[in-house]
Amino acid sequence: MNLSRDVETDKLIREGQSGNSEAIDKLIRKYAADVHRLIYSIMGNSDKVPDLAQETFLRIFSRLDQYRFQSSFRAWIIQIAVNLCRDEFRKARVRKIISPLFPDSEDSIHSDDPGTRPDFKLERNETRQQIIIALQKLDKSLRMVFTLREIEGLPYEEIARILNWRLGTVKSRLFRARKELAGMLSHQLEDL
Amino acid sequence: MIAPKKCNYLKMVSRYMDNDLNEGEKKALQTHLIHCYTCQKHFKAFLHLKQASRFNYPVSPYFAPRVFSALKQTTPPFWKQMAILPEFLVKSGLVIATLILIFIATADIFNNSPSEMTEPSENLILIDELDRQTTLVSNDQALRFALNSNDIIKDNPNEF
Ligand SMILES: [Zn+2]
Repeated sequence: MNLSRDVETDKLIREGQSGNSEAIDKLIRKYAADVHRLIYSIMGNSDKVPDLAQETFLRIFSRLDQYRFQSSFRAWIIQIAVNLCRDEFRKARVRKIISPLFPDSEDSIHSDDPGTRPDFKLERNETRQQIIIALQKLDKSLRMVFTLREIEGLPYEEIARILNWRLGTVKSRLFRARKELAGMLSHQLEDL
Repeated sequence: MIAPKKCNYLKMVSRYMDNDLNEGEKKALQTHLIHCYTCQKHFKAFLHLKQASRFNYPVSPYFAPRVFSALKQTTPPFWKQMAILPEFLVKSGLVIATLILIFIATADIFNNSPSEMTEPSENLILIDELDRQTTLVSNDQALRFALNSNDIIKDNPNEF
């Protein structure tokens, strides 16, 4: 991955920092697909994707002035999106714990574990669809490391920083994720 | 179906996909791949996985305008609201707050010092005297250093 500064993006960020709405609009459009795809791959539920993507951008622009041009802007955005997904997992866990206490609550009717209710209306490509379904069966940490590496194309160092893991952990979990996915998808992958 | 066999080179196959191997490791893996069926299978599978994982997500054309209107509705953070006030007001507010803090701190010392001095033991007086001397000496040195002049010290030996 090219870690040298993208002059054009830096210019947009600077203009965004001084409140230029055209620059902010361009930044949203530039990174919207990446953010959507990342959240979709991790959450496996397209209903939640637009809301979480919007929340990601709201967080980015509320602290845009804190961006110091020292790290990759894309990795910074991805970091914020990953944190939001982790918050969602945490909320889902809490809901799961408290739902037996409130049997009438909506969450007890619809299982809200993001990993078990994937929605793939958007995916036309059979193999990709299978990858996203298989991803949801992986342990969350394996799902995240695979998404960041293979779906978002981030280098090891960025992944280690975003997930707060050591480089060795990134490599070994990525290997486990690939191995488990390859096992689940052996038929689809052989057809390629 | 991918054979569930284990091989010590498998992790290397995974790192190969990320271009993480040095030249020596690459050569070793290439030689190994010729006769290891398990690694061959995994190599192909990992590569296909990589190729199939790149996709574009169709974003709604209304997404950017929606973020924009949400952005307008959010209240600016505290420090930005502060920026609405004239700068001198903020600054003078800070100065007043600092003065109040200093006043409280010094008042505290005044309140505490008499109670500490009510029944000084001999040891305490000794320490106090020693403290005063070291303070005088160190202040004296600091002053010499700062002003680089002996006259002022002679003129005002008790200034500090
Ligand atoms: Zn092997």
